[in-house]
Amino acid sequence: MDIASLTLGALRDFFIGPDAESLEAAIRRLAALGGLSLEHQDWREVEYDFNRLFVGPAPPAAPPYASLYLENEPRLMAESTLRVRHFYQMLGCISPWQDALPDDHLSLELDVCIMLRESLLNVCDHKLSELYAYFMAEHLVLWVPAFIEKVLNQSNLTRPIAGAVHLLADWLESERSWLAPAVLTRDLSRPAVQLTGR
Amino acid sequence: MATYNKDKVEKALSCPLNRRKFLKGLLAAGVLAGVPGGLLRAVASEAGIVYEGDYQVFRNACPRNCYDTCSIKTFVKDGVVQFIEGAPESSFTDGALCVKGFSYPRRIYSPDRVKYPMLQVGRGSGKWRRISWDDALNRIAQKILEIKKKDDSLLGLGLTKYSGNFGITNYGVEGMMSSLGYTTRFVGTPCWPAGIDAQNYDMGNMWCNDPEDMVDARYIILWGANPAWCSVHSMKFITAAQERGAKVLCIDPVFTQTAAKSDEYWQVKTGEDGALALGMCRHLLDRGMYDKQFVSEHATGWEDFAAYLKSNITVEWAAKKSGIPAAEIVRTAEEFAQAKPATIWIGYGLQRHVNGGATVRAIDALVAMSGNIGKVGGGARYGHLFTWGFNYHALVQKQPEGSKGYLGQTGPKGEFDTGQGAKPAKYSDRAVNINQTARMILEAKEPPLRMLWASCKNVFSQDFDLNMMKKAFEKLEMVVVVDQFFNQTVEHADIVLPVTTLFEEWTENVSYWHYWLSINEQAIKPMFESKSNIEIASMLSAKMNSLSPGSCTFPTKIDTKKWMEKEFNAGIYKLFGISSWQDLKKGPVKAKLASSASWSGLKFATPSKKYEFKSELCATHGHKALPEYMDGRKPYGPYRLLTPHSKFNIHSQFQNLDWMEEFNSEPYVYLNPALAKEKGISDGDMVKVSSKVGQMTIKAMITDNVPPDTLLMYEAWFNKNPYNVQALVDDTPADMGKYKTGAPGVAIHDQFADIARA
Amino acid sequence: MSKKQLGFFVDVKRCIGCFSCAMACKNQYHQEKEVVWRQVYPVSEEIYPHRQSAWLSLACNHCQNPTCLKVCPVKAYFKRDKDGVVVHEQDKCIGCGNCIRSCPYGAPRYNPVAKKAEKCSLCWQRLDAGLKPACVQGCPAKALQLVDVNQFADPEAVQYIAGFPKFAALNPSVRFRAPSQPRVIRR
Repeated sequence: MDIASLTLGALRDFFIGPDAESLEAAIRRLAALGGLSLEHQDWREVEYDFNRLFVGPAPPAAPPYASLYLENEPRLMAESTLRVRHFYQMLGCISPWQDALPDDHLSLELDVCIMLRESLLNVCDHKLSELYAYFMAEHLVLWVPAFIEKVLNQSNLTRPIAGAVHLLADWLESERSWLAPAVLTRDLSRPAVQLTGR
Repeated sequence: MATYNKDKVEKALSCPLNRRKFLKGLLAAGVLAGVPGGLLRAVASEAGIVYEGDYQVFRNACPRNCYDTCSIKTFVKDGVVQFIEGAPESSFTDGALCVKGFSYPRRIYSPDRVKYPMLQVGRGSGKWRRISWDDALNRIAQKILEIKKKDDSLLGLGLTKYSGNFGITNYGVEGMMSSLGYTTRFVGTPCWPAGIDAQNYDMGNMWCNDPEDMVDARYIILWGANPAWCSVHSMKFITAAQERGAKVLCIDPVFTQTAAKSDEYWQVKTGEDGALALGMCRHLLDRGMYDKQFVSEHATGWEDFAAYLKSNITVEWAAKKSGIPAAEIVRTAEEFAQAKPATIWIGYGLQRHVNGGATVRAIDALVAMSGNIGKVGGGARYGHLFTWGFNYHALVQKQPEGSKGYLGQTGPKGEFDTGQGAKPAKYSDRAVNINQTARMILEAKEPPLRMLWASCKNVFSQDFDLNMMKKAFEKLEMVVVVDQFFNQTVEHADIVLPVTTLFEEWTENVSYWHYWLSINEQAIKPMFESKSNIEIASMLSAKMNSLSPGSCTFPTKIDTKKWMEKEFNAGIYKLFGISSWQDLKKGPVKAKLASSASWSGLKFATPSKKYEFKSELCATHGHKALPEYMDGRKPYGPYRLLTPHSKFNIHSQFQNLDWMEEFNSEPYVYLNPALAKEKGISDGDMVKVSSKVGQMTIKAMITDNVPPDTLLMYEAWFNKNPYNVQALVDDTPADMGKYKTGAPGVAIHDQFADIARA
Repeated sequence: MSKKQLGFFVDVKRCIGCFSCAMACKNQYHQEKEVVWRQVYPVSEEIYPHRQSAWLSLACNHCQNPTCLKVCPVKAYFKRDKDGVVVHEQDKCIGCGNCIRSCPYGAPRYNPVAKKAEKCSLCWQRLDAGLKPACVQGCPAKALQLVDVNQFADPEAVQYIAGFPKFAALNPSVRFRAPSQPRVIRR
């Protein structure tokens, strides 16, 4: 795996991490890869912030599910979620939490990107590269920037979360440059969708 | 540079066949790499069932505290609820739901749902950690065992549960408590207990006609009830009666939506409905316009009641008390008596007063003497539990051997407590009044209440005297809340456990108004890590027993579908004319009633087996034997404060959803133009409403729907809004309720407040 | 034999303003916030003298001479021959806003996410499957009906009711029955 895939792996584990320990472990990996600097941190505070932003129990400020940013009516398990499920199926994958956790959780999507990248690093397959480009251009770049913006707009963001989100933005930017110019010149500036009531 | 052909990719994605073909190609080319530590799992072919074009249809039922208990048809595709409809097979639901029911698809898939068990580090701090179910149950079990050790009983553990989910298997929450030992139970009901007792004193049971027979009524009084908001499916039967020439009179302190649909509306003085009813009785007595056969052959105490009326009640007095002119009282009483049949819908708001039970007895007496009990299209309609004869298998659990508890008598634990499983045991649960929850927590001692489990109940939104409640919670060592959204009670919890919606559990449902039975199938997998109440119970039991063998008798492994099946019995099958619960998969089924009229045989369940105008039992319980007039609560503030129910929510459910906010965006206090003028308040001004227990700042809406001496606020929980009417409402009891429900009711509408510009 | 023209019969007399119709539509189509296809408007106190007690449930009126169709530059609207339903094909829509500006009843709404217009299309997919529109099915008071306005002969039904603006040139395919008022006895 190259650095980008390893970074992605750590980001994937970060955004699904259930507690302070796993968040710390993911951030340490990112630091080891040179992505961000590690400072003294109260990881429990990071956990509280993580839950406030992404989980609950209060309405999360920036829930990491694509459908909330893509749909006419932001809800979970929407049509766009099922398209992502179909995308996984086409690659012979399935979420182990299918039906309980929406398939378009950021971490699951980063996971499929890792798989596609790794496959493409081994062999140059046109079909696969087409799929990866499609997923990037027709899905990821349409919602992840809005998600990132939503997070960065929050006040009192703990540094590791801000750091992780910036790394996510960096990676997305670098992958976009790999796409065809035709894709780059598309108007990708969709407005950050207002999550209703939040 | 990577390019892609959008159409080509989307064609490959578009259907299972294409996706399978594409995958086969990839596999054959050997290009897919595995990823160590990845989340996604490999699957060679499409997993799960896919329904292209067609939907998978499931049967569900709305388990909320609502007359209508709708039967639902749920349309699922790709394992996702796409939309729902009302079941067409039920003539009550008749294909339609309501504004709340139709918002269910938003509720299931709201990103705001409580997803995982979570721990609040420092109650009220807002700092939450996600924990595993095992961790959560471990903390809870440890606390329970600690209490047991400290107090030598589990009376320090309390359960507050009410009507958040009426699916029958959810009585497993009470069962869970029993399976742990003898605990403290918040008993009673804030809802309808005074009226229940009243109907029991008069007739021996609370048992209303089939609401669908209102079409046959010739006169309908909707008294202290607002079905246009709170029983929308009943309105079509009332409208049908009107179309056949029936007269509909709405009696309510407030001009409600129901009033607008009625032929006539009376703005009665709040709490003086008993006087009004007795005035009508007196007039009918004077005119001899009552059913002489009924009062002599099927009732006792008529002579005493007649004597009471003659000595104590006049129409003029009733007019003065109620504010309704004598001429109207006279005319209406006669029209009512002459219409055959005539019926009165006795609302629950009507009896949320210190004289609520007495009022219902007076109205019952009016219906009885006019000869309308036991008549199709007639009756004193309040509610029933006729169709609720399940096994209560989930409810009935045994305390572990050697459990110690409360030494003393307890009555029923609520209106649904049929006493099943109750043996004359040495010990019992400690029963405290749910209508005075804050007070009970503060006062409980030997042992104090250390731990509270709240399920199907939003304590902060629904219990009275908010400021007292905040103090009470400070006494609790651990608060566990089982819920779906981050409401005001969850804010004050130590642990929140995510619970399933109706679409994610197996259960069955009936109504306390209509006579239909529905199955509730599990239509989808539970979202995130939510569990149903009985699953939580079985998991807790497993954890308890792993720490301390024998400490919990609740089965540690359950099949929730089988538990749904176990509630059915021969009685239910016979009543509904089905041979198996499987029949309900085709749609809801109606009870096979001998008559749509309750008490059609005029064989009452009182001690005398007759209608009791005079009830010795009632007197024994500390009330009057006759349905005598009882004074209302003396005002302690300048204006009466009413906090009834809105059409946009069932208590604290639904209004928090953004779909509902689109149609109802914020709460108001409603006041009369004359009062507004006096206070210098304009439409939309922010005002402060204050009572002796607290205050609330809120926007004003001016309308003469509300009388000049009254303030009106609807009880609701708005998302991220501190609005809470319980800040203004105290916990003064109603007169009745203890007999049949274990605790007196609460005088929710006998509250008084002041208002000023903020 | 006149052509079939489907439209809504809004029985304001039966209507209890419960908003079930509006939510049934959301339940069916999951529209974006503020993109409301059916709204329930309170009749003003000048017309019905009790605040928020009479209601007009309004969606698209599937006019006989629809202005949306006329002003659309890309033919994203068409009126079905068999039943007069005015269908909006959002795929063709370019979000120019002409229809939104021209419809005096406010039926087409702007969807800021899709950047296109959208409106009630009378659940034509449900109609073609033999089902009722979601709002009609979803009304518990039976106050909303689907009728052929060219055949509908209810003597109490009117095309324009107080509170509903008259645009005769469009000829909206909607009918109403007026609400009644109770006799009121106040203290």
